[in-house]
Amino acid sequence: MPVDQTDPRAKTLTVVTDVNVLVSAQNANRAGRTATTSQRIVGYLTTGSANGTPTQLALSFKMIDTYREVLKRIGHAAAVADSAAQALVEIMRYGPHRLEPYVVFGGTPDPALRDTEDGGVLATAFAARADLLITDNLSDFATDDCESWTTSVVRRSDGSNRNLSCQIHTRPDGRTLMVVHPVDFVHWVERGFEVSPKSLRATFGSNQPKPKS
Amino acid sequence: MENAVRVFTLLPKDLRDRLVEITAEDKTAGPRLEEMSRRVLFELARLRYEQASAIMATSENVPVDEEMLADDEMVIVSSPVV
Repeated sequence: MPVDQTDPRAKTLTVVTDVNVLVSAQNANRAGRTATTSQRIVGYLTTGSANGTPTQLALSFKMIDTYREVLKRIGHAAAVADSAAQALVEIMRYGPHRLEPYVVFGGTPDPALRDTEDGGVLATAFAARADLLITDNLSDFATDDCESWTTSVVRRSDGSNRNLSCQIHTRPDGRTLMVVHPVDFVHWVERGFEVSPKSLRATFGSNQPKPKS
Repeated sequence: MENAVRVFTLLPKDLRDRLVEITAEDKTAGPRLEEMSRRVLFELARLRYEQASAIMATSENVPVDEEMLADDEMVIVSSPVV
């Protein structure tokens, strides 16, 4: 079905985020930080706005369960872990697109993905018709037929540098999914850069293609 | 009633203003009230998430994962987006 550009919901950015981003935000809270990359992303998703662009969180039951179990495993009380997980379900449910968590029955939508958990995340993104998947594990989602380019260079606290990349996956029905690194996403949002396939191709398309492995 | 007032005062100003505006209108405001309800429920979910996060932030027996924190604080040194 074509997207209705007159519908304000059509401008909403539907985002699937790796569970690591959610856990990392709690870790940063615990460390007393207030504006790390993951904290900003969680802020965008839980306030429903990324620098003025409406956001809709999308997760699967499996991802929510993983989030809850990781919080418990690292020592948080079960009741508070449950409460945080349930709040994320409600943030999805009462977001602009009113999404329910997705049920993903194992396997992967792309046999090229080696990790079935990553396949489940990708399946969730496709099921939610997400615009964006945010993950640190970019190479795990690189498939032979996706577009992929180097986007930026980041510096770690130990002084070493790392090249980041982004991907665009195009489904048979023509819809696209952008896969981006958390640091890039925050950088783009805070500079008012339009996070869309068109702008990614225009800005990074002339960069060297990122090797798939 | 006290809870209702508390929730109302916690809502963003534009949302509070629109709620007041809509309640003064006739019954054609149904879809707009439905949208307002969604936004109120969204705000409540956000508050619930923030409350849980605040509790976890003070969990004394949970160590900070320094490696995860370092990755979370990587900074961009080169990007065409400026």
